[in-house]
Amino acid sequence: MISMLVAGGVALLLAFAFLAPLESLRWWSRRSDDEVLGELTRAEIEADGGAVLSPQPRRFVVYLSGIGAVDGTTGSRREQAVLDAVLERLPDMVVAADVFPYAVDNRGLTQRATTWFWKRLQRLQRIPVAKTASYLINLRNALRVLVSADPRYGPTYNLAVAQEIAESLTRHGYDWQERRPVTVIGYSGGGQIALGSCWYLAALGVPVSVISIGGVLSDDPSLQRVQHVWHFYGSRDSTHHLGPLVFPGRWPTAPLSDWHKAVHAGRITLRTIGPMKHMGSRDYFDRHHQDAHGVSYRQLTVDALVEALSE
Amino acid sequence: MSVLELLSAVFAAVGDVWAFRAPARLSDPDEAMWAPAVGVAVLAGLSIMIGNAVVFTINRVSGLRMLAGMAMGAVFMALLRMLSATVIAFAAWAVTQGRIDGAMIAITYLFALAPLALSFLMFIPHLGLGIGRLLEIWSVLCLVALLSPVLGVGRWAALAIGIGGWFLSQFVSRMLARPVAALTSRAWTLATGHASLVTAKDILTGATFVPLERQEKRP
Repeated sequence: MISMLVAGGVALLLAFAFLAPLESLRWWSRRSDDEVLGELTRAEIEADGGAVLSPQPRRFVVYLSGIGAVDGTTGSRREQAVLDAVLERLPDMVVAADVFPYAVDNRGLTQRATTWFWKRLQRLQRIPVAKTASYLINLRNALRVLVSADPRYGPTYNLAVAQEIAESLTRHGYDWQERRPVTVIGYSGGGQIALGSCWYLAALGVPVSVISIGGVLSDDPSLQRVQHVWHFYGSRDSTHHLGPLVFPGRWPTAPLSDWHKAVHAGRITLRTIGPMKHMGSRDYFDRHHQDAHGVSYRQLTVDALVEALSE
Repeated sequence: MSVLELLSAVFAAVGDVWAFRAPARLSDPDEAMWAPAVGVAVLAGLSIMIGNAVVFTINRVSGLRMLAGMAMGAVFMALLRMLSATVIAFAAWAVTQGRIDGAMIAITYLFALAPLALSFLMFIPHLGLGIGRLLEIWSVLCLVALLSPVLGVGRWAALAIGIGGWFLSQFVSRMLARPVAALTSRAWTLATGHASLVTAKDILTGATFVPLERQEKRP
């Protein structure tokens, strides 16, 4: 019985792993270079976009959620509360949180043929005893993080997400003539995808930086182009250690990797911001638990974000 | 030998080699050995081809061009493996002072490709790259394990032949990378009228022996 369960689990894992790169490969193979690059350029974006904000805010922020997300529209209230608190203290910014980083075309899991399946799992996320099944969402999205970090699949996947970020910026009034600084905040797996997509945003001439909240970051080539990367993590967050463990470019044996070059250039800031865990209770968005000085975990995260965004 | 018998022999050999055991047919000189050995190599080749199909997809190559490219990729892969086998045969010849059977070395080499039957796992995002390297190491270790009984030498001598041969073949393939790439590129351009995108780096990695070309749509 147990061996059958293990075999079934391995088969499911393999099926998810094999399916993971197919979506972005199909997306890429069905488009011509001109179409893809054209959609990324300023003129094309402006043609489809909304009204440009005037005057332009000091900075635009795009938030990419963690691997528990199912789409870009029904974001977690806890994460939204953090973004609202940041915006309250930095009113000269615009925050966009409508990009689903774990799919091309911004197509959430609840916007496809298998909606019934993902919606059911999403509901299970809130039921403690049935939570295990909902980890399939995490597994599915975590594999997209690996796609983003893979030198074979990453370039097309990150291009698709960059395109969605660019469109989101346009929807929020970004002026592509002025090109104000953009910071992409990624929580958990969103950190790597934020980093990967910045290669293309920087290519559009956007001054771009990345803030990772407990992110699993690789030695992405984007590190050559981003202005700065802040990696905030909790002292009890063991998941963020996967970055330096899984990606050889972050090992001490690769001193010439993009990661180590960026570290030496002082463009990466690694900082413990509190005693947070990666997810669930006591995570970065928890307002009930406090550190030794009586500051809630949520407030610690907000303070760190405000400090980085104020620079 | 019927198809079923052949398949059975191939999978039995794959299982033996994975466990670092010499396949039964390798230790019994009366058995027909070529067919299962070639079967193992074909299985490994097909598995690797899945990875090449991904490279084609990324480069928007499909249909007949994909088939032609994959066929050419298979030829190049076979050539690289033949080169490795030849180098290993020379290393074995040097260690055993000429007491080698060329056919047995070739068959052993083909059997040692068994771990590469799992090369389809390289399709897995990011982790697949590491899996690919592990499979290569596993394959070299299998070769060492098989060479010892075939050549009648000790494990250390087999290790020297296997590892030394592997390093030598890497060196030779790197030396030949540029001229081979230039020749293939020229042949592809003559045949199709388009420039190929195969590079020396592709040859060195052993991953993309496929002359890809970009379809430019001009107004």
